[in-house]
Amino acid sequence: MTENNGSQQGFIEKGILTDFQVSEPASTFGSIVPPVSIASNPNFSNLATVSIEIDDLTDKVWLNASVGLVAQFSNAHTVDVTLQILRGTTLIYQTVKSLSSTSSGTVRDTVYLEHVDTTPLTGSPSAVNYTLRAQANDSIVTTSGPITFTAAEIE
Amino acid sequence: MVEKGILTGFSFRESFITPLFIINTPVLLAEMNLRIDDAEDRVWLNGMVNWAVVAPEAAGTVDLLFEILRENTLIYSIAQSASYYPGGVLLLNAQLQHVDDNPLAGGGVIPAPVRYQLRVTPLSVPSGVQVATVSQAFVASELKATEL
Repeated sequence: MTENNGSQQGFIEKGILTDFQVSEPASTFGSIVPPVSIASNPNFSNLATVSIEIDDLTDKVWLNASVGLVAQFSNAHTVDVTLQILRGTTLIYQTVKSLSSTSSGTVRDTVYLEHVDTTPLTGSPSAVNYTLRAQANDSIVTTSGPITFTAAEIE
Repeated sequence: MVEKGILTGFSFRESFITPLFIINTPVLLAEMNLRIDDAEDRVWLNGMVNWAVVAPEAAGTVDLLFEILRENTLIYSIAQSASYYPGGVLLLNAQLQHVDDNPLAGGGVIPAPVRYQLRVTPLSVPSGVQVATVSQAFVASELKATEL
């Protein structure tokens, strides 16, 4: 894994926010009825897609996502939810959230993703599509909202 | 080409001093005003709440609902549980993100201050459990549409 600390080089400042796009299919808990099931391995559930126009090869895209999750446990155990961000069809970020319960019952949780895409363009200016998707290792996870996915262009 | 997003306003509230105990009624964690000067403006809201549970001598689950309100209207909510063993102490954090694309609610005089609140509402707090927020940050950024 490479490290990019985003520090300023010389006296060049790199960071004006010049565009901002959002996909927010649900903004409150319980507003997705019926709840969307999170697919089990090897499948994924697409949660949101956002598109942003990028006009310069040196632009970066600051991506943030938040999702409310619900797990219905039949006994005490843990379920892992993998969340990914794709640029087009290329995986650029992944995290795993564990939900645990000490008994049977419903557990609600929040997960937050943050990533800076330093290479959104490989050619001429164009719209770049990002997808937020999720997968669980047990078929007991759903989302009923909220789902928020933002992309900010940084020049 | 229309780009929609120069960041033109920024306001925040942050506290890490006084724990607020959550029992059975909503608790206001933070409140702020953001000056909106264009009907096309959007507001990017971010919040993070650190909270703790001290469990009694029985297992159970605490459920909290974290909410963002604009002028007393609910515009965002996210739920989080803490499933605990007897006598355990849990530290958790809830992160909130919302884009308010209608901060003036379709009317009002421009410019106008718009009030945002960060609130926590207990959904389930079993008897004997101590629940408290430890710290929180609440940030509002005004995003102005621009045309290049």
